[in-house]
Amino acid sequence: MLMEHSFEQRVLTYLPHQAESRWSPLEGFRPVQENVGKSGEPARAEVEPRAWKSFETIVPDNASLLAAAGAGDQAAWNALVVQYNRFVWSVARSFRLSTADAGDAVQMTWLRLVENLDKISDPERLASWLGTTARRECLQLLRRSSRNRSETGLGAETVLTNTPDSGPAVDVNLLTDERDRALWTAMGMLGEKCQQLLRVLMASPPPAYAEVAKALEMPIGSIGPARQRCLTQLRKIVVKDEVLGRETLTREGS
Amino acid sequence: MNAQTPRSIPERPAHEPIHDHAGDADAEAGSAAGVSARDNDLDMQALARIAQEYDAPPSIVDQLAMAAFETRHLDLQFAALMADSEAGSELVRSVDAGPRMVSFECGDISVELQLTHVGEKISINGLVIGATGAVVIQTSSGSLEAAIDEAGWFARDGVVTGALRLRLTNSNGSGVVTEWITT
Repeated sequence: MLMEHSFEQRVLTYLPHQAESRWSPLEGFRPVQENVGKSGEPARAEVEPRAWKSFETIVPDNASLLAAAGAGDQAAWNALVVQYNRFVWSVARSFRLSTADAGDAVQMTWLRLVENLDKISDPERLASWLGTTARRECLQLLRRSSRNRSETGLGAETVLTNTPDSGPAVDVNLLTDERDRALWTAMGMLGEKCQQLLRVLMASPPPAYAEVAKALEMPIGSIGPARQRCLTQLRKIVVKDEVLGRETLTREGS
Repeated sequence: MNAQTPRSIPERPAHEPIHDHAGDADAEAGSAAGVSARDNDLDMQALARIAQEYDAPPSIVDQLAMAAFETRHLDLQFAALMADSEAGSELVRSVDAGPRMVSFECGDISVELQLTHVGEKISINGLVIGATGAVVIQTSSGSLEAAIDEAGWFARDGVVTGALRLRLTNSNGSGVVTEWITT
């Protein structure tokens, strides 16, 4: 219904390098002298001694994008989607939602941001807000799935009906690289909590721990230690499987 | 877009690269098990790359997120969700809990909904106070109308599941839109 738009071009005018890396406010900062030297506009440096203007021209911050979207700017909205949609998607997948349900949860999260555009009090914590909202939507979707399964034995009809449902896990057979396959297989053998945490951390660009903590309702201080613990378990499984694999090969060879 | 001076620099970079977190207390536990923090970081990077290559959001999901912006209506009053029989509990509820009851309010308008799943669709029975004419039921697949009778009741079958909200017209002619709910 709403698909006649070609957004990419306008998004790119905002975020030329966005697909590859998330900007950081500090990366965008340029010292006054450097700015003056490059632009030859000392007057601006006097007006804006901290030279934040230079970072504004690189990538608008959340506050600017939210304000512009609030004023009706679709391109600013798209820039927010480009920035955060993979994080929101990762949260949905971390709840082991199917492709269709994850799509519903993600869409609902953005619909809620549209409703709340003027009410985001701390734009720098927008990702945390999205994470919290996505979490709630996922739990609601899990309730729905549970009800539908027992009532009909079928999945709910959604806007994503035509998207093939790959289920919550990536088909490991699609992975062509042997080491990737080993890692992904090992991931499936971790406990549920570890799988969930790591799936959120896999978002691109990497989410801050505060954002992960909100999305998973975990204390922020526990994210780092839990990450190390889960990855260490993962590595042990991979190494064990490698050893077993080698032993099998040796036996077969002899 | 107006350049604005950010109110403050975040306490720490909001988007630290992951390897900055290595060396936490538990890294020692990792190395005791023969796994270094560096190993962990490399594995995390590989997992992130695999997720990016094989489990990125489908393009339709990106497009719907962008299209969500078109649901904005500055000219409509907002009716907030006041009660939802399915909200509150994070546990997956038992299945035979009966129809879901939802209510919205905005000024003099109040809406009570009873949502019943029938197969893969839902049936809506509603009671509206303070609005007249028809209710427009908006879903991610389009809009449906249902007439409000003299007593304030309306009903509609065959509504697709997913995002849902209602548009109403109050007695002085101005539009009201409810908060989105997931059905």
